[in-house]
Amino acid sequence: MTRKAFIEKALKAGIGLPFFSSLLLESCNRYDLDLPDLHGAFEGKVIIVGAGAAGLAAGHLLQRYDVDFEIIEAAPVWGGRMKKTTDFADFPIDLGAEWIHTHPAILSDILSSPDINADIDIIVYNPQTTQTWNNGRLRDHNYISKLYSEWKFKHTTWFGFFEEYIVPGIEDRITLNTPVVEVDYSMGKVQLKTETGQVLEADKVLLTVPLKILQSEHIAFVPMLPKAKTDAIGQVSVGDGIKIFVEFQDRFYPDMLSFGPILKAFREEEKFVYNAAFGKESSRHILGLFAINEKATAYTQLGTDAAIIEQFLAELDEIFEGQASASYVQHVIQNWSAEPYIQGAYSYDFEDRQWRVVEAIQEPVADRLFFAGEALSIDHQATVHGACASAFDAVARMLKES
Amino acid sequence: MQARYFLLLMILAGTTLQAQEQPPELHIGYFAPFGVQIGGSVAYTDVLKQQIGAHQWWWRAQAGYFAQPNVSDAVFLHPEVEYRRCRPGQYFYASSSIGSSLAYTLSKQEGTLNLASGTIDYQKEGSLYIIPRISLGIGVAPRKRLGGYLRASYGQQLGGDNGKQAFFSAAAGLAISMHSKP
Ligand SMILES: Cc1cc2nc3c(=O)[nH]c(=O)nc-3n(C[C@H](O)[C@H](O)[C@H](O)COP(=O)(O)OP(=O)(O)OC[C@H]3O[C@@H](n4cnc5c(N)ncnc54)[C@H](O)[C@@H]3O)c2cc1C
Repeated sequence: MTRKAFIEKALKAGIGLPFFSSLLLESCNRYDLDLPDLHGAFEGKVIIVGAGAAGLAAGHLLQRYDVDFEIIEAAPVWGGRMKKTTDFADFPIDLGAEWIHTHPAILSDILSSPDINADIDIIVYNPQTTQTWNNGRLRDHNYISKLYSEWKFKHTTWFGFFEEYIVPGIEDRITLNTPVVEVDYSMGKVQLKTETGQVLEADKVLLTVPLKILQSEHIAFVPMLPKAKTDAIGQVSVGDGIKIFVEFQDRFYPDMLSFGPILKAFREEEKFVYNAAFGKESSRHILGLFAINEKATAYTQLGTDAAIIEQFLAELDEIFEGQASASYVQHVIQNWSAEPYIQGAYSYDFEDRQWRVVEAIQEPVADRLFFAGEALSIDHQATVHGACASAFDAVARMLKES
Repeated sequence: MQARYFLLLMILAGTTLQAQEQPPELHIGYFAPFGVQIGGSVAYTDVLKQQIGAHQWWWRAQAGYFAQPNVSDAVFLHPEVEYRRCRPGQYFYASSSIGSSLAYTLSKQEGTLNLASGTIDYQKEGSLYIIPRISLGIGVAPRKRLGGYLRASYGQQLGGDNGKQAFFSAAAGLAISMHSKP
């Protein structure tokens, strides 16, 4: 079920506030991510395109199974939609994925290293003060704390988790700054052409690039991908995405602020402002803005960071009676739509039934091209752990079908 | 007009002792604050003032537990007074009650996840609240042994770090007669 559909269903079922209950329901149940059980050894070479959560998780798994692999990443850094900044505040800030949208035990499932001797500190993210800004009025909804909770990292970030526990084992297999522009699977082996004209060869290829990259035909396929697949790829909507962090001298905002009537605000789950230092060991006042789809477009269309921050501060000033500008210290903007190899937020809606679209995209092509990424997890779409789950699934298919 | 109703009420109250004895009830049920939290409660309920027919006053001492999954566990004590209205000779009643809970909550603030096992060692913080609340409900008084009730409450949580918070809950359960009726 899509994130949007789940939220709407929850509302109709009267579970309560759908955004919150969707998270609550997810977080109540421990979600197990099992390492696939693989039969037989695969002798060939695998190339993973994209070093985001899915690509890195796939590499981690292939390493475990002693498969020869390489990860090719277009950007100068790995991580994709996981990104951090350490020099903005006195704690690392997630510029992309931030919340752990399921039971944190998922982190140990992603690692699947029962011998590892490490602990990680987590915050129970249960905002105590919630307000809405609706029709020019600020209202308290603190009871929301009783309906909603999930988790966050205390000292690290999603990026930091991969940096510490996944990437060190596979770092020498990652090639950065190498956009793949063509995938030729017309012969026995798959040939990948990079932007610089380099040709790489593999027996199997796992594509984990964002759907927007496939939709914009940034990568050419020879022969063209089957129509059913390209149709399915076109049926997923991915909107704009932006995060803004602002440091203020004083704290004048609640733990969470949403926009519009409370039910609508949380049903859409498209824009909120939050205390980014919640539960962190911090003496600074850092406010975060999360916006996707049209709510993000309202900022991204402004073009420059200066125009974006001016607009955001003006909005905060209206809500908090001028306190934002008066107390402003510094800001950082992460415009995901402007990232050339991401181009948006995450999969949000599916034109057809989600499982049908996902199955069509996941379906391997010629037993040589495989697909993974956040959009291809039915139950945990649009999350880091969902991206990892889809990667585990793709690796299982790839090695079982060998 | 109001004075007349009050007088009528006093007369009814005065005649209650001659009315038929209502046995105390034991209430055991599901208690769900905010609709999504889970919990249970047990209560001893007894007649405060025996009334003729339609109007009854009861008192209740309730103890219970509720949890916000993955966040907090709470225990509470809740004394309240209940007014029941039912047709004479009928078991079905509508009720309203007022009382105040004293609740102790243990909340998980943060934890340490063991990456090998996936287990979390949580650090918890305790806090004490008072929750004055009013309830509206319906019920069926035990005919012989068993009856039932359904209640919705609204109140204010007072205390803790974040000041006043709205509190609402739903409860449903069984009413067990403490003595079988003659
Ligand atoms: C604003 C925002 C907030 C979010 N918040 C959360 C959250 O709180 N919690 C959560 O769990 N999830 C969150 N998510 C979602 C989460 O970030 C994603 O689901 C997940 O990181 C996606 O991983 P992926 O591997 O599928 O894709 P990506 O991380 O996008 O990785 C794909 C990689 O492919 C690379 N690539 C693209 N084109 C090419 C090419 N031609 N050649 C080579 N490489 C290429 C890209 O550079 C990228 O590194 C958020 C996302 C956004 C945008």
